[in-house]
Amino acid sequence: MPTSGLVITLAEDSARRAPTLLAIERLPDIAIGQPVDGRYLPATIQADQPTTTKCIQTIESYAGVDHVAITWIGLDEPAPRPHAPSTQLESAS
Amino acid sequence: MTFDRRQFMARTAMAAAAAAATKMARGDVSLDVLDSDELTWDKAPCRFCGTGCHVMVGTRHGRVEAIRGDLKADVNKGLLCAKGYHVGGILYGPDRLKTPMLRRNGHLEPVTWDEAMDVIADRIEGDQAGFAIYGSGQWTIPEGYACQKFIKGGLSNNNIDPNARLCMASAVTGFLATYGVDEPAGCYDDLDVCDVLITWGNNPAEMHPVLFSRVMDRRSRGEKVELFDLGTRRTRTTDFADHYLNFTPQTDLAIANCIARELIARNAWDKDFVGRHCAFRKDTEKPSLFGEASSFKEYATSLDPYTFEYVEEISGVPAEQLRLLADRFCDPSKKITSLWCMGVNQHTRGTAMNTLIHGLHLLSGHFGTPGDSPTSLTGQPSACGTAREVGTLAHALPGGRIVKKEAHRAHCEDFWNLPRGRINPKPGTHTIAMWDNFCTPTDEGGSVSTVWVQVTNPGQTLPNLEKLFRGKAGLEDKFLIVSDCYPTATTEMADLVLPSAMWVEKNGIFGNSERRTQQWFRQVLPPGDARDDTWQVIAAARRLYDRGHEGMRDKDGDFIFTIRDQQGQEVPAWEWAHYYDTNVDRYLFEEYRPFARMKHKDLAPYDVYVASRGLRWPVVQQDDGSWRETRFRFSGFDDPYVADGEDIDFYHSKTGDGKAQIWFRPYVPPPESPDTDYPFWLCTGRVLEHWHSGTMTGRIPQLQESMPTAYVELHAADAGSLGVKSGDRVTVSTRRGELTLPAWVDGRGQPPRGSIFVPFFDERLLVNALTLDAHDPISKQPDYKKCAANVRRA
Repeated sequence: MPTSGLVITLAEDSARRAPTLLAIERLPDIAIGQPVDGRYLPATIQADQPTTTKCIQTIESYAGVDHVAITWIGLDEPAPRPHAPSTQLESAS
Repeated sequence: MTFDRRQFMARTAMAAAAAAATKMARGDVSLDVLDSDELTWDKAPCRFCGTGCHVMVGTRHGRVEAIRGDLKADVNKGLLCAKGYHVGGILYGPDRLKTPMLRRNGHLEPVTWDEAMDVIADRIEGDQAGFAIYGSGQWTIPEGYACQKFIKGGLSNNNIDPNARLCMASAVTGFLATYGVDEPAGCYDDLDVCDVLITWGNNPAEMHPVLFSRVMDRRSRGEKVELFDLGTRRTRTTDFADHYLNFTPQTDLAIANCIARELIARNAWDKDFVGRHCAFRKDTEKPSLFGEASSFKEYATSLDPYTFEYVEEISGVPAEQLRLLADRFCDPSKKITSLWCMGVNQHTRGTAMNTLIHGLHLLSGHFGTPGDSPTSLTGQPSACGTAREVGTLAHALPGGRIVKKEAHRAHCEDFWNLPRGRINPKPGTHTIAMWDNFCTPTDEGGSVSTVWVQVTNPGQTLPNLEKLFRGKAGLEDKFLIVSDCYPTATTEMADLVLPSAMWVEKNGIFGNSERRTQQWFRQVLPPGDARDDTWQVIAAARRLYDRGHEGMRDKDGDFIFTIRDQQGQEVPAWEWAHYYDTNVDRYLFEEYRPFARMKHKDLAPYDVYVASRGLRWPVVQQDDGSWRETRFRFSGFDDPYVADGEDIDFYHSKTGDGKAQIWFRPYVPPPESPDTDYPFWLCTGRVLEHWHSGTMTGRIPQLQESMPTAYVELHAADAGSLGVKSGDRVTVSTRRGELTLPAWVDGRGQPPRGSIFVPFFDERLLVNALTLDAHDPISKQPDYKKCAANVRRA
């Protein structure tokens, strides 16, 4: 499942940030970090591609969001596989 | 403890996002601001693949402590892949080589550099003609240039070849046969505007993830990019594809011919473009790079057999899917970019398949405007810059010159101020011949007696290892010198091991897949007694010079590596204590730079690259003194060498008329196919977490834990027949050897029934003991992608 790293630039108006932050936090598949200077919010989305696209579009649509920058895209396999050889070998050792 | 890959990716992504957020909060990318972190930041291209991402390297107290994506870099725009974020860790594996070692009584024992240089000089004086250098596309440009000059200009011996022979030699011959000159016309900017992306046997999602992310980023923003993935197994790239065309190995040629046939059948080929810019060509009976002239009529007739029905039958790709791909090539309104890499190059018909992809783009007119481009990718950071442009190949000289031509030799001798006749007219041994020869007893014709390996690991990456590498065992008069940073499968067999500085422990210049030349400075010191590869060559040359070796003198009697500082004073660069008294990279690069102009691959002065994140050649000076790069080669709107008034000009055309060549190349069955004894196709390749033979990524705990061992991918139905589930140990055998490793069923990559895949990164599980050394007759590149194998439960 792809992992996207984002920086969400929140609006300059601090009054609009709190509800926006709350709304973003409630979105599925997203994890948020600590905002830098209250305005630059690091976040990750782990979801399939259409869900990720939709999630980014939703964030962009919030009035309290100025910009969304994609800073990282990790292309992992669709899901961790319990019987993948890596895990097998580790548990064996 | 079981490592959770998903958490690993999430943590890495969050760390990258947090770093970027901090940077944005501080007002973008000012280095001054970042200095307040108490880290000193400087740029460098990533050490790994041919994409050429730039990283910012944060150092403190003489160590690399942080890595971040470089927002100033056009290539990656601040983005990095999982490997790139960890690139700093390559310097700090616990087993770095720190002192020269000589094998005595079967054991490697420490020696001084002085002793090591004597050993090298002795080997050369003992058998100069039998001395060879084997390098790679990881040589920096000055490193490769120094080796070229040393062996061709100093030892009058052309035994030098890079591992790039195993990697992109077929791409080179494909470009030469089509355009008369090597390297892509387009660039990564094509990925930002194409409507259709075709990956030909290519898995950029894992092998060039940042480039693939550029396309995925467009999709994330709602843009439509249609992805056709043509492959012999499903990969991470397939997961994002709109259309997956699974073909039987080797039949990619038939597919390309089928599409070309359909372009003609529908009368949809671009007659105007072809008429003005293309000619037709076909093979001669004996394979040759330039074949012979053909005609459109002959070309069209040759394509006749490649009907949808016939190609469906031999390739296994449904006619409906072939039609869909043909539809796109027949549509002039679509911008089509093709990408390929090892799947097309590591192929006994590699040159042929390269020319067919170029031919499809030319025939359909999908060429020469942004988004319409056939672009081969490279696996190594300077396969283009060093192996191809400096020409560290057995037949080549810098600047696209070749040793066979007297005028080219003379030109090079003049540049190097060497007496006439110094450069040997006979091409040296190419990779396969070099190692075959080295592993053959001298009295049986094995005339290569010493190989000096730099920046590569042939003990793991050569095909048919028992024959081509381990065959050296027991041959007492053969001698292997290895310059490397870590113990490897190659140093295991070495007689002399030289510890090397790596990446930002030395100055360097790379040239990436899109013609971009990238410079960096040394930022930390190498550990122990490790030293730069360029220094090692200069020091060996000087030892010979001091012993009176004539080849190490130019025609005025001066040392061939006379290095001067910017005030013109000679610097004793062969003495390590003085090597960094001046910038040897700058000196050698400026010496090399005029060669580049010979094929219109003009480079800017060294200092221009210092101030940039790389520039794509040809880089030409403007009236105002600035230097301008070229994004779209051969295109009148961008390439300064296109004749005035021309939209397209193939100015290195082999036919001398400004035309590119459209080739007919037939499908030919592979040299080895599954049979009763060996009923599976075996394909080998790479994985996201490791870079090539894993020498560097294997020392990065996060990456190693994430992918600790090689495996064999099996189709679920085959696994069922064999009674095997994921994690069970199975034995894979071929006519050359066998290997036991864990199975992965329904894993990351999914081969079709009757096919298996094994990655080659794991030095404990050497799959290349199984692979075939059959190679393309023109490029001499071996085929790692298909041979016959058997699988049984271990």
